[in-house]
Amino acid sequence: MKEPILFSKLVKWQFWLFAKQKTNLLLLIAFFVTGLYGLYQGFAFKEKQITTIHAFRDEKADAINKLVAGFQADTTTVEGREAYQKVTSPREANFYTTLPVYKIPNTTALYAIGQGDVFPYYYMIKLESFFMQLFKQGEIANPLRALAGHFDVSFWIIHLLPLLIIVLCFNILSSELDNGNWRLINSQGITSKRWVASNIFLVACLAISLLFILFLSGLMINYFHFGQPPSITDLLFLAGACLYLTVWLSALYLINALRLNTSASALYGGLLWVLVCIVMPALTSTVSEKIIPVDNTLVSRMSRRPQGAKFEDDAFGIKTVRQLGELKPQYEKATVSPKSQGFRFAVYFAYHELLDDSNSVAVRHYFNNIEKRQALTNASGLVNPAAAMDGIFAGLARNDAAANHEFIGNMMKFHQRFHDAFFPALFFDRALEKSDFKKLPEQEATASGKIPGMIFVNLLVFVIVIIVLIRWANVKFSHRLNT
Amino acid sequence: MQWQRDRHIRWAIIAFLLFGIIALWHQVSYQANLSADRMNAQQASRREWLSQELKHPHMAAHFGNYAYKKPYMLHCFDPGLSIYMGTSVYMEPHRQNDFLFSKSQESDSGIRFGWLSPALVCQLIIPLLIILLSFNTVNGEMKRGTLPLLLSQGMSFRKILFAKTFAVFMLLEIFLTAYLVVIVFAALLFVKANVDVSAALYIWVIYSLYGLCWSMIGISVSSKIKNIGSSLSVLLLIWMFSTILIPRISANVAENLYDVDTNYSFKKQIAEDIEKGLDGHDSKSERAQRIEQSLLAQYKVDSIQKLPFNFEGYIMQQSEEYSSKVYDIHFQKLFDALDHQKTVQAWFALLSPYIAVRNLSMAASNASLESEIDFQRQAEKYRRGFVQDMNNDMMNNSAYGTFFTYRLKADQYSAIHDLQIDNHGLSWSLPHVLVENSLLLLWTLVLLVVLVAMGHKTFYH
Repeated sequence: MKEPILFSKLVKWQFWLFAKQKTNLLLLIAFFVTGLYGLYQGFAFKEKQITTIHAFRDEKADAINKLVAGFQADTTTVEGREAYQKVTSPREANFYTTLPVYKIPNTTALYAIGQGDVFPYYYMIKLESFFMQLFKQGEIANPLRALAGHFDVSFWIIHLLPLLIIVLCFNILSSELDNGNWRLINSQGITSKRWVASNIFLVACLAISLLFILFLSGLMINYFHFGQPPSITDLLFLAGACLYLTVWLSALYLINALRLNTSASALYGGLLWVLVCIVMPALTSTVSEKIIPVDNTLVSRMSRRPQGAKFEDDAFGIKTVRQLGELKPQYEKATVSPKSQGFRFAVYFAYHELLDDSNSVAVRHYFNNIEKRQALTNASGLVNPAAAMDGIFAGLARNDAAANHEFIGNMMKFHQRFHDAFFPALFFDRALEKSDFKKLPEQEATASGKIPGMIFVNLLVFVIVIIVLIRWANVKFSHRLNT
Repeated sequence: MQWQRDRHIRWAIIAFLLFGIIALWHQVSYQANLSADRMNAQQASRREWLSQELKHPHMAAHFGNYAYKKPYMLHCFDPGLSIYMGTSVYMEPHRQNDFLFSKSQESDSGIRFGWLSPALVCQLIIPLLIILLSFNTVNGEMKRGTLPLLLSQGMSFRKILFAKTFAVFMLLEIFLTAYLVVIVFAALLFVKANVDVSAALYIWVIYSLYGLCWSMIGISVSSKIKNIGSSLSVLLLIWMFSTILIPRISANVAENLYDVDTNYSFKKQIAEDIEKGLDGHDSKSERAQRIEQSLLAQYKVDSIQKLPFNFEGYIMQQSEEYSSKVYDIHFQKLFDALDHQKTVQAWFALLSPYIAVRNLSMAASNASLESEIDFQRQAEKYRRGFVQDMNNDMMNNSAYGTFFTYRLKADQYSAIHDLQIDNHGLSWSLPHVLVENSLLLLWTLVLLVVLVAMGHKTFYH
C-alpha cells in the first residue's frame, strides 16, 4: 500500500491544478472586484450620512449660538432689544430653537447597510409633542434602490461568496469521474474524502482570503477616512462571515460525499442556494408578519396638531397645567396662571406632554412589534442562515429595527431633557436665563456599538450545523469506503 | 420529458409549486387586511375632521387631514414599489409633509431578499422551474442515444428544438394561466376590489413572453453544452446573474449617476427658496409688502383694514401659492432624478429580461414609480384644495384682526369634500414603460433567432 500523501502537499497540488485553469483566476478576480464594489457602496452610503449629519449639526449649533448671543446684546438699540427678547421669551426662543439629533454610523456600517436606508438617521427636535414630530419626519428613501437591494459587503458575503464556493466545489469528485482522472488520483493513495477535503480547504482559504483583504481595507477606510478605530462589532462581523462561509463549505463537502453525478450535484448546489438565499428568507418574513402583525394606522394619526378654541379657555388651561403637575411632580407647584403672559403657550405645551404620555403605550407597542419581527428573523439561523446572518450584520452595523427603536428611545430622553431646560421658565412664569440654555441637551457624537446578543446564539448554531454536516459527510465517505 | 425521470427534479417542482401557493395566500390575505385597515383609517381621519370643534379656519387647516394609499386589486399579484414608499401623509398648511410608514420600515431585514408575492414566484421561481425542466432536454437525448433515433424519424434538429421549447413553454402556460385566474378570483373575493381585466391579461402576456424567453434560453443551453452538469451550472449562473446580480448593479449605477438628495438638503433648499424667493432676491417680507401695495392701489384705499376682504386670509393664500410653486420645482427635480434612475435601470434590461418584466409587472399592477408619485400628487392636490378653501373662508367671512375670535360655521367642515385617491388603469401606465416593452420583445426575438440558428448546427455528430 502506498504511503498517504501529506494533506498540505495535497492542498498544494490542488492549488497547482486550480491555478492552471485561467478561468478560475478570472473568476476569483471577478468576485474580488464585486467585493470591492460592495465596499465602495458601503463607503458612499456612510459618507453621505456623515456629511449630512455634520452639515445639519453645525447649522443647528450656529442657530443656537446666534440666539444665545442675545443675552449679551446691547438693549439700548432696537436690534439688541429684539435679540434679547428672542432669547429670554420662552415663546420666541421656542420658535428659534431646534435641536439636532442624529445617529452616526458605526464602523461596521461600512460593511452592512441593512435597513439603514429606510430609517431616518437624523431628526430636528422642537419642544412640542415628540410623537407629532416623529411621525412627520422621514428620509427620502430611494424606492428603486430599495427594491433591487444593496450591493454592499454583506450582500457579497451572504449571496455571492456562497455562489463562488458552489461553482468551485459542486463537482470535485464527479468531474474527476467524468474526465476519467479518478482512477489515476486514487492510484496515488488518495481517498475521495482527502481529495474533496483538500479541495474544499483550498477554496476556503481563497474565499476567506478575499474576505480578509476586503475586511482590512474596510478597517483602513474607517480609521484613516472616518477616524473610527476598529471595534468589537467589526471582529464579530468577521467571525460571523467566516462561520457562515464555513457552513457553505461544509454543505458542499456533504454534497460531494453523496457522490452524485455532476448534474445532480449542480442541482443540489443550485437549489440549496435558492433555498437559503431566496425561499427561506421570504418564508420566514411571511411567518413573522403573520405571527407579529404591525398596524400603523393608529400611530400615523399622531402627527395631527392639537389646536382649537379650548386653548383659549382658562378653566381648560388650569386643568391641563394641573394634570401636567400630576404627571411630572416638578411642575406640581407651577405658578403660571391665566394672568401670565405665557399662559396659553404653557397650556399648549402641557397638553402636548400629556398627549405624548397617553400615546406612548401605542407607540411602544408599534416599535416593539417591528423589533420582534427582526428578532424572529435573527433567531432563525438554523433554518434561515442567510437572512439571520444578514439581520445580525445589520444589527452589528446598527442599521436594523432594534437600532432604530433604540435611536427613537434616546431621542425621547433627549426631548425630555429639552423640556427640563425650557419648561421651568414656562411653568414658573419667568424669562429664560443663560443657565437654562446651558441645560439644553447635546448629543454625544459617538457611534453606537451595541452588540445584538443573538449573534452568539447564531454563531453557536452555525458551529453545530458545521459539525453535523462534516460528520454526516464523513459517515457517507466511510460508508462508501466500506461498501 | 426528462424531468419525469428524475425524482429530485420532481420534488423540486412540487416544492416550488407549494411556494407559489403560499405566496398567493400570503399576499391576498395581506392586501385584504391592508385594504380594510386603510379604509378604516381614512374614515377615522375624516370623522375626526368633521367632529373637530369650531375654530378659526387656519387652525382647522392645521388640524389637517390624512391621505392613505388605497391598495389596488393587482397588488395581490405584485405589490412592487408600494412597499418601499410612504403609505400615508399628514396634510396641513404651509408644507408638504413626508410620506411615511412604508412597509419596508416595518419589516425585518428579510424583506430585502424579496417579499413573498405571486410576482416574486413568476419572476424568480418560474425561470428556475423552466431551468429544471429544460437543462437536460437536448443533451439528455444525446447522452441516452435517443437523439439520432428522433432524427432518423425525419424530424429536423430545428423542429426538435422548437418542439421541446413549446413543450416546456406549455407547461409554464398551464401553471401561469391557472395561477393568474386564481389570483384574480381571490382578489375579487377577499380584497373586494374591481377587476382590471386588461391589466390582468397584459400581465399574462408579459409573463408568457418572459417564460418563453427562459424556455428558449434553457433549450439553447441544453443543445449547446453536451455535459448535462455543465449545462445546469451555466443556466443557474445565468439565472443568478440576471435576477440577483444585475438588478442590484443597475440600481447602484443608476443611483451613482442620478443621486437623490437627502431630506435635510432637500428641505433646506425649499425653506431658503420660500424665505429668500426663487431668485434669491425676493424675500418673503418684500413679497408681502408688494402684494399689500398693489392691493391698496387696486382698491384705492389707504390701509389694509379698508379692503373689502380680510387681508390676512388673502396673504395667507398668496403665501401658500408661492410655497406650492417652490415645492413643485423641488419635487419635480426629485421625481426627475428618480425617473432618470428608472430609465437607466430599464436599459439594463438589455442584460436581463428580469428587469424588463419586473418593471412591466409593477406598471400593470399600479405599483410602479409613476403610480406612487401619482398618489403623492393626488394627495398634494387635495391638501392645496382644502387649505385654499379655509383661507378663502378667512378672507371672505372674517374681519381683519379677528384671528382669535372668528370661528368657522359648522357646515364648513363637511363642505370640504372627502379625499378620493384614484388608482389608474393600464392605459395610464403603459406609456411609462415603452423601453421595457420593447426590450422584452427584443429578448424574445433575439432568442428566437438564436434558436433558429442553432437548428442549423449538428453538434450531436
